[in-house]
Amino acid sequence: MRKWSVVSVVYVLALILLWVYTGRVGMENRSFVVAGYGLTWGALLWYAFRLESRGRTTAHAVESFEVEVTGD
Amino acid sequence: MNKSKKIWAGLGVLAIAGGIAMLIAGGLSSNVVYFLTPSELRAELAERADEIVDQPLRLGGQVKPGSLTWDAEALDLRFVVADSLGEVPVRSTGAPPAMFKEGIGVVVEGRYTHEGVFESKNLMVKHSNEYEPPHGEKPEQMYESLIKSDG
Amino acid sequence: MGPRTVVEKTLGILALLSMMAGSYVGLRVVPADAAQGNVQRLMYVHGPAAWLAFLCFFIVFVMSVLYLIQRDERWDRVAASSAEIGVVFTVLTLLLGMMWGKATWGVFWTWDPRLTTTAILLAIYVGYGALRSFAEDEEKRARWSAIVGVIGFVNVPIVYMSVTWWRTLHQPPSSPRSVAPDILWTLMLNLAAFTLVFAYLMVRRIRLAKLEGELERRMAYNA
Repeated sequence: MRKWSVVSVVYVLALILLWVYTGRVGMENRSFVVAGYGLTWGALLWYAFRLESRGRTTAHAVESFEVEVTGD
Repeated sequence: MNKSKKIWAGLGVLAIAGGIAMLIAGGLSSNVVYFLTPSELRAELAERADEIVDQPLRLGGQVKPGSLTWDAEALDLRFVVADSLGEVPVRSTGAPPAMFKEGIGVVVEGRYTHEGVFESKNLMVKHSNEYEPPHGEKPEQMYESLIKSDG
Repeated sequence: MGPRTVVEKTLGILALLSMMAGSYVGLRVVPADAAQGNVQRLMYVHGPAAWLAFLCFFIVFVMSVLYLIQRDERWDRVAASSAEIGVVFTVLTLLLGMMWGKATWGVFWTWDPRLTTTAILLAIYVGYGALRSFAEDEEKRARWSAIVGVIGFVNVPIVYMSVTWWRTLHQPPSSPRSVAPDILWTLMLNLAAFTLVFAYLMVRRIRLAKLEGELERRMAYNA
């Protein structure tokens, strides 16, 4: 399994845990709080993994040109 | 350059130009007035009532202590917005934001009507830049009480 | 991009651990604000996101000036990387602010000076990114975007000062005097965590920028 799918599962589990926990302590406005922290983590993790996948794509493209350039 | 790139480029240039134009036209000028204070609205009404009455505008000030009445059945909310020099009565329908109370700062969007009441379409509550835990509760105690309520 | 270096790995782990600590303290350890209740906990992510956006665009500004003086493509790569990460933090700031605003002010959005200038901030740096994707000549792209990076930065102090200069719905900036110690420390912890996240994203994004530059050179050579 790829790393990002493991992280996604952990992320979703953590969100569910947070939802259950905030419900049990009776936190008012918990939908805003959970959505806010969920968004923060989600956006930053997404961007970090997006960078890696862009890096892989670009690296493949660079390699496809390798032979022609090494001569200079 | 392909077509979608050209569209993005156009949008990009528009966004930059629009952003900078907005900054110069609106943002940088000193007369950016997001809301009128009650005394300013009174002054405006005295000067040019026909241009102000029934026009959409924002009114900002403090909810005058003792002025609040709330009819829960009719969802009718009445209060007075005041600053140190002036007062304007406001009528609003529907439940206000949770933080709404007497003495708090508000910004009200709506119109000043011929009846002499500011009809609110949108009631917004200001909050301060001061943050403090509830009095008498230390973080450790809070932590303990959270753990207890867990079990 | 190749495997992460030891420095990158360490930075990544530190960023992750400090974010976990920041969220844990922000959500569970620190007491909520007396006036606002638990929704004030959004401050610990909204505030740092906004600060990091400012930092990103400041770096864009410095790198743009350096590029215009020295014409070194390294400065251009750092500026491009910082601008993109700044957009991520600006979007985050706006969305988190909307949630906090809905719960306290009663509205997701209003065109007050702080919110309006922040929306313009986003437009400027989204435009910066679009400009980069449109310019194909490397040197022209670097020069144009450096000019935008310098002029666009004018808006950053305006966003910051908007709550002081003009009437807004948004509250003025917090200061150590206006914030209770526990809340302040939690804010600082999260600011440190966000800064580590930023540092990690930066080193990875600059690596990607180098790789993209290499790809462009090879494509040009083979064309």
